[in-house]
Amino acid sequence: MIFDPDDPRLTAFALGELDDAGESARIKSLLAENAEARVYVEDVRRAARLLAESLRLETAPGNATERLEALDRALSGLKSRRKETILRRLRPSFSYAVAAAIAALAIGLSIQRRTERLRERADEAEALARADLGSKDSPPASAPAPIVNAPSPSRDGKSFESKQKKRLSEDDLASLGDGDPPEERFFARGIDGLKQAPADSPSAAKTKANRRRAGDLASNFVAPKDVELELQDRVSKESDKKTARNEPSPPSLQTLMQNRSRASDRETAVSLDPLRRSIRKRSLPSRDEVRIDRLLDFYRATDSIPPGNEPIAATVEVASCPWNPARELARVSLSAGRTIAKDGSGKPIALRARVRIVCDPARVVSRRLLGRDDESRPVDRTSAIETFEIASLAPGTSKVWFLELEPSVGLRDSSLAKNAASAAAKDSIEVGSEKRVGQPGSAGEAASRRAKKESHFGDVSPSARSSSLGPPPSNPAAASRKSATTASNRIRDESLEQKLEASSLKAANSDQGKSSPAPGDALLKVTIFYETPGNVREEETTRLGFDRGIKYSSATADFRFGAAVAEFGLLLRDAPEKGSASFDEVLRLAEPVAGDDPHRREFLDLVRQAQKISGR
Amino acid sequence: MSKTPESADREWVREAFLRFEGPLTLYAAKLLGNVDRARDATQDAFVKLCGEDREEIQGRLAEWLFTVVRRRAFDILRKEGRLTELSDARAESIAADDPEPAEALEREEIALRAVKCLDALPAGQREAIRLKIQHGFSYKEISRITGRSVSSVGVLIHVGLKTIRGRLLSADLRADDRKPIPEA
Repeated sequence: MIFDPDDPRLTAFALGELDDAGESARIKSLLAENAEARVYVEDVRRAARLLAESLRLETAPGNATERLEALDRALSGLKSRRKETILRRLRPSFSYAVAAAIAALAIGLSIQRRTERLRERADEAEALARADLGSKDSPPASAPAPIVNAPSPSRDGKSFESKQKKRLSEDDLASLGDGDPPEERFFARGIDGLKQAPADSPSAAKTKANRRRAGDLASNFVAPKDVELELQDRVSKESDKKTARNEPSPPSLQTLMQNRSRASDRETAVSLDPLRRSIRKRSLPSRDEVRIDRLLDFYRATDSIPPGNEPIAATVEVASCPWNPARELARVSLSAGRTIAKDGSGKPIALRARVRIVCDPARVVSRRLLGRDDESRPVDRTSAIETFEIASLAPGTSKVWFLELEPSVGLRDSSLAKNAASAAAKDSIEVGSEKRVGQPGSAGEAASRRAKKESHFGDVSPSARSSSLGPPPSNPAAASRKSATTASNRIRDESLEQKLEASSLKAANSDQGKSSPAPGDALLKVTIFYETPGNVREEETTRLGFDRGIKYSSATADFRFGAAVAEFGLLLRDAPEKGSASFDEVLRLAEPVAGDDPHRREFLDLVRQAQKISGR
Repeated sequence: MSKTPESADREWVREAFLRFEGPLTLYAAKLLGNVDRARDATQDAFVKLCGEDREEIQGRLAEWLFTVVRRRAFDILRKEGRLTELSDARAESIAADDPEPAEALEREEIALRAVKCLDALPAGQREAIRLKIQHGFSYKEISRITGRSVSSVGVLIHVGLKTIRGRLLSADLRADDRKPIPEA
């Protein structure tokens, strides 16, 4: 076999598509003999790998969670599909058949009516002609054609033809052929005339065409109206029946989803491309073109792909917030393994997972999910639970969320003290270290200890929890209700808490350090429910996020880069919560951890260019 | 407790949505060049799926959904009068119109370069390569989705990848040319 770079079998072989064993053997022998062929096949594989890697980064536009909700609503509105399948399939064809029958009937009736009118007029004209000509000139009734062919003077001096022309013009028949000879006009008048038309007449074909046009005229001006009225009548009757049965029409799936998609236009029209385009054109993108969660999705994390055959890895990291020292920033990352699941044909399938993030209300006053909770929403949302459904986490990819947490007052003091100490001992702290840098005996530490005792994830009393949500309510009844609500919420979560506490603690220890933090230290808890191939039941795993007083500059590389991306997004959106964010700070955060990653290098370029454009 | 047929069907549609909605929207977006219309096409496919007999298409669900989305996308393009197949000549001219192809290519990372090359290919090649590499379909499945013969799909993918390979190689060579020559 001779090497031919234009042979598609080489590409098929490189992509594993050559089914034929004989062909495959021939290609293999060619590759063994020919170095050029080997290089070619390797290049094709390399190009395919490059493409696969890049295309994997492309994510579907839109918010799948919202559309999934719409799908659920629509599915719940669907009636028993199996029972109705035949009826539903028949219904449209039945409707079309009825409509077609009505239309045909209306057209037929109108043609008949028209023909009758024409015949009446022809008879009338004939009678008139007979009267004009007198009995001695009148030809036999079986031969009316000569009457028309031989125009005769009438009593009032006007020719019959002129009268005939006038009548025809009244019936719009003049338009059927002004240049036609009179006999054709007569033939066009009706069936009688047609009967008398000579079969071999040169104008017979034209006459037939005229007749067709007459039919068209009739259908154009009469039939549609009839059909329309008939259909309107049918529709109103159907509508009346429905109203009488009090049967609301279920919203269609399409309507629901279209409404949803229209509602989320603003959210979905955003990707990195508009941002790149704007900056390359020396202008800053509009607010709507910047979506922080999309930016975070775009820049891949480097440290969280699960090792080996592990299907999933989740990490939670908490450090101080770069743009707001009074707050903590939590990074939650969920990654799918490289070979997570395969379908029947051996192809890898995307992971489906649900992620539930619960902030401890005793320790976190408010939280903001960057990218989702934009500035239009109030900061102090009381709901501390976020749930995400991930429809397609492709193998080897990850999803990252950043939450800005406002710790309760005691914790904040403690955290600030920790941060100050952390900054002072900056050099001694390793990246990702869990080293606790507190001020023993300080007020902040005492507050921290108090808060730990009152924690949601540890031993907590309802009164302590309610007090942590804000100032005590002045109304005792309201206070009682609030306590009851929080207590009931707590009970709901308690069984899960107890079940997961041991494994959470273990996981947290293994992930985040060597010391043994109590569950009560956790600011937030992340539970991941996910499916594994062959198992119907979901697996679950939990991670806790601890406030260890780590300053953002000492956090992991992924945390710092993600925080830089989020800060850049806040700046571009000119968000009110951007605090002390600055382009310089973004660069300070991102530069040391960009490495050789081309996307991260490009990010730095974008930040620099945006800084120049904004002049800040 | 066994599931009723209706709930099983619902679950089936739901699972299909979870698994394929993203890839289908992406595929349609590449065909239509418009996210909203892509989403409409995808939604139409799932609406249609609700009325289909599960047993009939269960074994070839992915293929069926991609086929429906493709047809819907082409209907939309026809309706809008935008169905102009990108010919090879036009693709070449578009690629050549790039003001600074070498510099632009060098700036991008190699994988981004590959995608850029892919996007400059004629529509048929682009679609076949995306279906193969991005969505993981076999030649036979692509042939059923696109209505082309298996050999035609093979040729499209071969020509497309060969073009990408050639452009990547030439970019690499240009990059090598710019490197300073080490002194002897």
